[in-house]
Amino acid sequence: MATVEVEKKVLARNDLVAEKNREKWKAGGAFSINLISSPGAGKTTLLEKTLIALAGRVTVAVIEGDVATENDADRIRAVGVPAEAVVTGGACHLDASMTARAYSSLEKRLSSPPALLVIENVGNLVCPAAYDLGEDEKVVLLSVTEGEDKPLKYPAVFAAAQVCVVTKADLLPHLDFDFGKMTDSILSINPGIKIFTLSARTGEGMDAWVEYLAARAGGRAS
Amino acid sequence: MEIVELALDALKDCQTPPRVGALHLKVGRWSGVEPATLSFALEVVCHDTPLEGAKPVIEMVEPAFECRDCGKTFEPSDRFDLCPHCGGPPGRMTAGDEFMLTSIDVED
Repeated sequence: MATVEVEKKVLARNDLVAEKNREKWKAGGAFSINLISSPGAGKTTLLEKTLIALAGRVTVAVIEGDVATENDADRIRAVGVPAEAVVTGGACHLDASMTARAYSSLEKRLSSPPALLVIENVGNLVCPAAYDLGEDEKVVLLSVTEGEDKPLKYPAVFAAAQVCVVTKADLLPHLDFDFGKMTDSILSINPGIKIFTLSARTGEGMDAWVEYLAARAGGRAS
Repeated sequence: MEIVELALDALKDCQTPPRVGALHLKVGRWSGVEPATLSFALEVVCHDTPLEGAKPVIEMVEPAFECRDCGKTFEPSDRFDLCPHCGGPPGRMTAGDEFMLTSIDVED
């Protein structure tokens, strides 16, 4: 019996493609984010309202990941932003290759590279943490209905993210939700993470989040 | 599937297609990869490939953190254990999230 040494990470190929994505998007001047959350935390609604607020200030393009349907991509297109749907058919997360293919298809429809590229991942708080897509920042959403200790139960994604957006803040009067406990649980895993608390529905807290993105994307007008 | 691709790539320079005895993998305890699920999945994806029949040999790697305060490495029992040296909070994970194909045993 002979031994062939390999010593390769199983996700090495994904990481290589992610780096190529990263270089390509940076070369085009884009700031890119990977939106991650449980299903139903409000990614698409937040994105719709964010894109309306950024209209005329920042050029945006969106890659939408879902197991089935192009419903979310349709909602983004309805607010006037180019979107490419990735229907995985079963995979519970996007990977770098799927994202690369989607971007290649999307850029054919753009007159110039976007200032902000948003990748809305498949609703899942586990697997997306492990797959680098080439983004500048991972943004994890946590809705107030999910419980204060959600970050402690899903530490990998909160540790990997640079930003946490707490959504559906308009529901707080109807919940027994300990805001301090939630913040403590997020910061215990990732003390450097930036936290935004908002309601996409009422607009409360949206300004800070929108201005953050506008600043990161350089405020380039469409 | 990636493991099959990596293994076939590593074996492409062999003069005759070898019979593969074992696939050695390193899996971190907190990588999110479950050894039993991995073994089952490998059996399925290796079917009808030159790797059919290869036995997965999985070495689990225990997690370790670098203390955010004193910088020393320690082995926690859960993600929120404090540093036993100085009581500081856990920082960077230095071990425990690996997922690697380390080597392949081939029959001469």
